[in-house]
Amino acid sequence: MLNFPQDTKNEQKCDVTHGTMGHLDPKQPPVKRRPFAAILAHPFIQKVELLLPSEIYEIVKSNLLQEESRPVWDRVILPLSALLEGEFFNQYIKTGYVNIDLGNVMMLSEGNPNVTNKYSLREGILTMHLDKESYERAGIVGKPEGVKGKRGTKPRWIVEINLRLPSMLHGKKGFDRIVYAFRNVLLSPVTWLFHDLATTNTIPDPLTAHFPTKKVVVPEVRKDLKVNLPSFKPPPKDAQESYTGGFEDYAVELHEWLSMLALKSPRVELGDQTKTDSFLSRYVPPDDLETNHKSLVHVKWEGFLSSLWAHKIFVQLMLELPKDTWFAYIVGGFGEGWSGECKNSTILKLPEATNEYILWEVA
Amino acid sequence: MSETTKVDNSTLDNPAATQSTSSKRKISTYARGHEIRTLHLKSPPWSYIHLSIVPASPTSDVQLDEVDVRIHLTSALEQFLGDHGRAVSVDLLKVEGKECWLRIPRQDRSLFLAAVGGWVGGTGNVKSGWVVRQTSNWLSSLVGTEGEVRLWHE
Repeated sequence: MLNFPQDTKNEQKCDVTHGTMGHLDPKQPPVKRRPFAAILAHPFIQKVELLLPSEIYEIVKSNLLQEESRPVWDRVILPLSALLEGEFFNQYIKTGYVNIDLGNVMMLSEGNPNVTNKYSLREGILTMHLDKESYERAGIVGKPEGVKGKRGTKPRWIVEINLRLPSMLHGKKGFDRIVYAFRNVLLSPVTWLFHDLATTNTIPDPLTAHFPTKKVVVPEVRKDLKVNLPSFKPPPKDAQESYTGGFEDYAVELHEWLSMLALKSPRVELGDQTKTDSFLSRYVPPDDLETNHKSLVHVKWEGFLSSLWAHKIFVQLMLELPKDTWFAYIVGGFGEGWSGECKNSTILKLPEATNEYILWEVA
Repeated sequence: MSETTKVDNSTLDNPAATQSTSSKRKISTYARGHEIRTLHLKSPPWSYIHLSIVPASPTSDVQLDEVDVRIHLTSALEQFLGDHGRAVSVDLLKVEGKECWLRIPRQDRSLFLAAVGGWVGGTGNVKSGWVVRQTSNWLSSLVGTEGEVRLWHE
């Protein structure tokens, strides 16, 4: 009726994978295979959620939710130039070139990557999303970002600098140019999220000079969630004609149901008042039989988390939980792109099947 | 030549023989782990929207419930599109304080956002409007970004 765009070219897509995880070696957990690779593909993680049956919650509680295993991160206000100064530069950025376990940090600055300048640091690589004016004044070479067009009309630029390169040293020409840009153009202090990935703590910590706010991620646990559990039948494997359609519906509905639980929507809980009222909502859980009443636990970690940590927790869950149980693990990144949507992965470990999983990667 | 075809036929006809080979393969692939099926979804049936209501006077405190939201949205859609707007199906997934999360058919998304964004209404003397917090074709993206601001400010 109205000429609104209908296509989804610029919108997020979802890749669904049904597979088996195979044998899991505790000493050498897989990193390159789905679904493990999907977790590690997130540069920064903001939220990790776990949904599981109440019966096995005690195992998770005693093994994963102990106080000493809580991840820690910091919030700190710094100008960009502080990154290149003294011990901060040597300890957090340069040491990782020699030994990744001794000095490796990840940082993310506040800002909307479409509007303001936004910086991130990961594996020694500093990425800066700049507006046109800052980019031209800074005088560091980068690439245009986003909208295509002539040079003069490109509003956003992206600059990537690998600070671990041997040429990145005080006194070198290219490096001094960066220092100059940070001292004269990009000089306003910004709020950073800071996460130290090093396995050994250094004393004194170079960050303490900047008065960070220390944060400990305390898992939020919602117990005794009464729901009507879908059967979690693995999708049919035979090459039936209707399979494509069947699997697509299966995947969309199950993903929506898991997201509804993460949203804490009352629509998926038992005894919801609006269930019969189609005026308010016509949402129906997948294969709603009204018979499979179960109780769930929902655990949520919120903070500036690393993908290594999320991967470690997932591997631990796979090893410690009974083989015939189901659980769902949701990993969410930070909002990005023009729409501010975040990349996220949902992994559902299917019950009663040997290590079979369904993975949804929204990107 | 004829012998080899004969052998092939015999394995096909003999279920025990095929079973043994397939089970062997199953063990090796099980140990490695593999993908059984992949699917690339571009156009899901639904879109999800996170809205919050903003009253004109910042002092007034609004507590929405499902029926309020439904009435406000219907009025917005009707103002913008008349009877056609009434036909847009909206499912309320969650309502909490000033915020609500909805599901609508994906094709109606742009239309719905235009209607909601242009609406001024409310109950009694307090005028209010909707603010779109986030929209996505995947509910998990909507849930994922929620609470991100807290990391920087709390």
